[in-house]
Amino acid sequence: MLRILFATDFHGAEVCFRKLFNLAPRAKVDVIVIGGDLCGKGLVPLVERNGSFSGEFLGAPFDVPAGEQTGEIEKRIRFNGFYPYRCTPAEIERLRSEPEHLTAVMDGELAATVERWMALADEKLADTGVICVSIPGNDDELVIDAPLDAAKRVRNCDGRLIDFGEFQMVGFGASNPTPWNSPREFPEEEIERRLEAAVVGVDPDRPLLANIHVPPYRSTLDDAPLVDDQLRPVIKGGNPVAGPVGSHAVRSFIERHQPLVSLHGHIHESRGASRIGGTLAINPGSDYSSGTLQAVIVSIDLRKRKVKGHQFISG
Amino acid sequence: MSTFEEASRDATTGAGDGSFFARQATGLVREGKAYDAFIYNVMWSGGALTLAFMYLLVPTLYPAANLPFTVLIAAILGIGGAFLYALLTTLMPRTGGDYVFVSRTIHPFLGFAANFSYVFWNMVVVGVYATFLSTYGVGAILRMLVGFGASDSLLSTADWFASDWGIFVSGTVMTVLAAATFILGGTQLFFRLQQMTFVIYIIGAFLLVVIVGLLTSHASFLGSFNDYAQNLGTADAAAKVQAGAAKAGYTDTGYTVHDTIKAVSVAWFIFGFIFSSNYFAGEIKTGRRTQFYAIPGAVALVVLLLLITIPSFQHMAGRDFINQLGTADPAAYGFGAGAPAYPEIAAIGSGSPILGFIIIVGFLGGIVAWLPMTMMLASRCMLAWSFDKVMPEKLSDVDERTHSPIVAVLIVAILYILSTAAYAFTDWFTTLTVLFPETLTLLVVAVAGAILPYRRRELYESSARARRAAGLPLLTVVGILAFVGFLIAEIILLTDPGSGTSITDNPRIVLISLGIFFGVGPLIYFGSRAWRRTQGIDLDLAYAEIPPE
Repeated sequence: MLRILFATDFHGAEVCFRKLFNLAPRAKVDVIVIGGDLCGKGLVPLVERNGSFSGEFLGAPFDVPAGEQTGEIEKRIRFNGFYPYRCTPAEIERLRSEPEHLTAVMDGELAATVERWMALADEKLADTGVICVSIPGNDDELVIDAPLDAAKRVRNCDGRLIDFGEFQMVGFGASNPTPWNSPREFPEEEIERRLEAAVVGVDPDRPLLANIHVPPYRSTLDDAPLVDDQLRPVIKGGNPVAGPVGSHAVRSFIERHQPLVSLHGHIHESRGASRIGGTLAINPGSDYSSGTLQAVIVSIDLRKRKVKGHQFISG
Repeated sequence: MSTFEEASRDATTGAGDGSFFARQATGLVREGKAYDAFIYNVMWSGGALTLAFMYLLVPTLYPAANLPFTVLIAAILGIGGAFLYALLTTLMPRTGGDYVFVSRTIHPFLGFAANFSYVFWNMVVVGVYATFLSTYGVGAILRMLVGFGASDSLLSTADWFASDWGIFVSGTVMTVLAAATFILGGTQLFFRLQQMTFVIYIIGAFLLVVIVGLLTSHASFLGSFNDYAQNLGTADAAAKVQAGAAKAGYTDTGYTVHDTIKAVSVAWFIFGFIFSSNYFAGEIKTGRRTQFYAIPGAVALVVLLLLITIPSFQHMAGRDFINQLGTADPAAYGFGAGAPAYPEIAAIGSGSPILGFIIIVGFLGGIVAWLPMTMMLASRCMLAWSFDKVMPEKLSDVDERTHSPIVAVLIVAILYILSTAAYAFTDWFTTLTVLFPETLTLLVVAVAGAILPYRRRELYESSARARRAAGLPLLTVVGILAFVGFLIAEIILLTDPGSGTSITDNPRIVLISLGIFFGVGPLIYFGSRAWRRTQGIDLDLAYAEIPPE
């Protein structure tokens, strides 16, 4: 029996990443799979003036002396999936006036964070036989590929097929176009081409598992609130109007190759499981902003090539 | 991809003032309008139904109640709960309501038990809605047409809608239509219908009643009432109402504090349900203040609507006459199928079948929208139980086209029909029976809220609401206030013979309520836990508090 623990869309929330690796031994899993979107959404400056740090977070201004209280603020910022950034008033001005500098600082924070996370994963997995696989997501800047590839115990399977002996895993992190023009987006045709290229050489006699960030189109795993051209949620009768925003290419890939299990993320509120032919497609959702790890454990009988069951976790 | 849900939280970081630098990433959407969530909560509250209860139940149960004060007392008891749910929904967005609040804060079994009880009694209360839909909605429209001069052949049809079979058939048809709405058209069709209903509901059930009430003198109303009853076959009906009430022993005693407080049992109906919107409001995370406009704001609007409607209505119909209508034998004054509810009385006062039609249809609209809303709530809770493996996986099957949990909807529909039958053919439950058990769940949620800052410290401290008041976390203070309000309401319900859950008059129902909460719910939870263990599934993992360090 192969037990897989899958979670995705941490968006910089280190607490969720840590919880994943702390859950693994308790859940007695053989494989940990991470579904991308590791990067947080922004930088929160802590401006240093006369030995104290000030700024604004969650709508409330703060002004704390350097030391323990600053650490607490930074912890809160990280908890919510943002990057605290200590700087001087002059540095703030530079970030405002020089977009290239802001990008460089942001990229540096993203890469450093992923590097630290990979080191944490390496440390947690040391002396265990647990396999760990990850992909970047559409929200992840390209700068995180290097630390992801450099990790000792975490295998980056973005756009690749990795052979683990008893099973094979194909991964893909980019998404179909979104209204936000995120860092990794491709037209459907390109996704289809890249996915097909990734599975060249797949052994049809051994189980194939998929770790594809974007869920298949109209699978119930891809229902997201729709937004208008002002990026405002479309609301009718007091409720957000939801619609399928998954990928057609991913769906046709699953229909063609029928991986035993297909793991997805991308749409945080579309937690669920769905059958596409013989494939069990799962999206555990994400609640990173409340520090809650949403994950799923999938039990697979490799000999019978059958999914025995799955269990959602929220903790 | 982050969607507006997280984005709204993101948007609270001070973006735009230069103190926050956002990446070009998905989900950074602008805020939606609190107004939309507000509409939803107002529809949920059952304000018009509460008003109908008041004028049907108060004359016999609490004739000396000062209803505006009763509403104000209920509002004071419930407003803490409104802020509690707003805070919890902001802290734990997209979580499936109290099931997650409690299970993740106190213990999974209590979370399930509280939610199971809430859903169970929500299904039971459907019978009340079916009764009012049939008797005071469809039946009242037909009787009104006769009252305004249409053929009296309609009267027997109107009377049939007030009969046991009429209630059962109407409730069943409505349940089937509600289920069909979800199965065939999905939630989007329902939301469209709800939006259309909202306008007619506010205009018909409240605003027109206020206008008619203010513009119609009592004398004029009595004249219209006599004309109306004349068409139903009874002459000089107003005098017969007074005589019938006197015969039944009614005398006007003026207002008393005792009855004013006891009548909170009726006004509390709003608060038994208005918090239910958190199951859906959790998905309307359009801004960090939205829930504070939407939940307490909805309470404020509904209370305001009641406070302006009650005096206007009483100005026209007269408090004494309304009490007499409720105490006299309806057959004696020509209303054989039963005393008229407030929409029909307002329709009579309007003197116009068109205005009367709009008023009753507005009232009906609130009921018609409420039924599928409850169906959604129940099926969504079942989904959450199924996700956590407490219930079979089949319950979480969602249709790809309509996004509806078909199996859950069908199960809920069957239970609705059973509830309608129970109300139509038995006297197991009274109109207000469900309020005691529903408030039990609210009490547990208040405890969860009060202790959350201590049990989930990191979550609370990292939120935008990590404020303190009186030296305590704000959420703790609000939780305590909500608890006190809910507890007082619970005491009123337990000591009021009219509530249907009086400890002295209805001990069996009280025991059943406690048994479902503390017996059936935990039995299902722990039974499922043991059963899952035999399948190699550790149910505790689903709720595990995973340490980050």
